Amino acid sequence: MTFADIVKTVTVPLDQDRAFTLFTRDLARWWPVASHSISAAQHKTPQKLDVDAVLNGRITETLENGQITVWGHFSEWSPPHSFTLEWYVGRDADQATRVRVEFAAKGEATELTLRHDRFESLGQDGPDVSRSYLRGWDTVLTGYENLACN
Amino acid sequence: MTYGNAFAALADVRRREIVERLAEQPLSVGALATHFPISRPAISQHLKILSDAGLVHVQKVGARRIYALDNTGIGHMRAYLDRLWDDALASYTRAAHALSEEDAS
Repeated sequence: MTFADIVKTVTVPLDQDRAFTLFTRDLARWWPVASHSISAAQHKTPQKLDVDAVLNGRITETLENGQITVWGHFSEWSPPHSFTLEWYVGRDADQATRVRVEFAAKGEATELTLRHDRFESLGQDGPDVSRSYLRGWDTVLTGYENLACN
Repeated sequence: MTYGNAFAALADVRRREIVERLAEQPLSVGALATHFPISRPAISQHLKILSDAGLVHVQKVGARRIYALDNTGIGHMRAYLDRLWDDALASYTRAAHALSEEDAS
């Protein structure tokens, strides 16, 4: 049994450096926190999102009550070409899923390719990846039921 | 909507191990029990949770109940994450366009 990776491609009218910076350092400018955040899963608004845009830097969400939750950290950092996020959203770092984004210059624009690795084949390749992937999402998505129905 | 149920169901290590076994082949509770150090009732309980979440289904083969993976629940999970990234990247693209237009003015 196999499940395809989630792969997304978009092209933006920015050069590689700016495309990379907007995605990473400036994540809080565009990430849809109202629908996709730990706060949103609790029907609340986050105080803020912070990104430490360096290797091993973390992405954190500060909840309404001031609690800081960690979404993940950058396990690979190669500006302006690519980065990899270990994505565990409030869980332990060793229970992470991975999101890798590559930035390719296309003239004056930049093409991004995002790959969110799914378990390739349950019980075969990388059962640890599949386990950590699933646990990484359950915290956020358990509360997403109502939101996902909208 | 069952997205949350599927993830909650798979939050348990033992249930993920059961799912991995069933990925290899459909099995009865008895056959599953040979792979785990827990009782059959405990396995049945896990299977019920997985079944309610749309991750496994059961077929009756004679007097036996054979459990197999059900793509529906996992399909829902993938569909949700697929949509999450569509939403996030759409928002990123809008921000990128706005940034680009700021430069032009």
